[in-house]
Amino acid sequence: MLTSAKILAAGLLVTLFAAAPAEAQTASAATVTALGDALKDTDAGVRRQAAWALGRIQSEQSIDALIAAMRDSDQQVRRQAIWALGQIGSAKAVDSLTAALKDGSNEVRRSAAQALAHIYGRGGPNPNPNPNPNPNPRPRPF
Amino acid sequence: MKVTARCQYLNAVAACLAVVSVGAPATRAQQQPPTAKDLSAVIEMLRSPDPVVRVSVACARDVFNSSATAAIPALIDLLNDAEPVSPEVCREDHRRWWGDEHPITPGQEAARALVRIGTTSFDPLVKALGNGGATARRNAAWALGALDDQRAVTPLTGSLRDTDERVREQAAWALGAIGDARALAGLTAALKDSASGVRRQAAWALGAIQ
Repeated sequence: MLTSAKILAAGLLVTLFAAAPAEAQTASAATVTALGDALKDTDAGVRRQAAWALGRIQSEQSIDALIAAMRDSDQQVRRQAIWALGQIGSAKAVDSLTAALKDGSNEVRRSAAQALAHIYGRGGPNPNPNPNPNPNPRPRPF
Repeated sequence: MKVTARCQYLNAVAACLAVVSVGAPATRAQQQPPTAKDLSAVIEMLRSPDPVVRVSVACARDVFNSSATAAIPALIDLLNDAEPVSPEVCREDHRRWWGDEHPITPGQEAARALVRIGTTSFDPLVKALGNGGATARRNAAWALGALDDQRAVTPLTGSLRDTDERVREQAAWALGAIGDARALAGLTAALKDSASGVRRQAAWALGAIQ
């Protein structure tokens, strides 16, 4: 009786310790959700950075939020969201990206075409509209 | 009148630095460490009442390397110094990074010098991040990110809750630059910061760590 309880406790500990580092390695669901919320931030710069980050993280969980961001009032945000959807490369985004081919902005239409070509071509070029988006003006000294 | 006086002072500094760094032209290429006597002159200039002198010395690339650890306390003291100076005071590399329109400060240049000195600066920088003035904390956060030492993740995560938004912003940048996944929870919380600059930098860092 006592031993089985011990084994159970040991098993629980092993599970906890095994789970903890695995979770720390990749962006958690909470991070992706929070970045999805940041796509609705009042500041366009925050929305643009959030779209960029989601394009780097490439979680399918963020697709709906990114599709919504394709209707953003700020053109840079729309382009960054389109780029991110191309990076994730899910067929789920194809309809929305095709609709963006009719966007009023040349740049947005170009980004949409590039993202679609990237998805269809499985890894073709999907140029980031803003490849160095770190807003921090203070560089490394080297 | 004032400008002329400053130029004369600058010439003196330039001459002095030439003695420090070019003293033995044949060995300069081998990065000979400056002697204790040379460094004491440098440290004295770091404490000069003229901000132009303080900046000129702090941005002398040849002086601050891993053997210049004796200058660390004087550079740490300079971190809180926000007196703006024309970027032309430092040499060519600034035009590329900051642009001519941005003034530079002794605190920024001290942070760069501390990074060039290297890992010996780590502990003093963590201390400055914890109990320096707001400008010192910001410059220390930047330097810790530039040093790229994983030990800084815990103190920098704490600075995401600093009272000064510029410190929080710089800490978020530094955590993104270091790229350690332990910072993800703190940065995710920073997406709800009251300052948009902090939220922006946190979103960038979350993507950079990935």
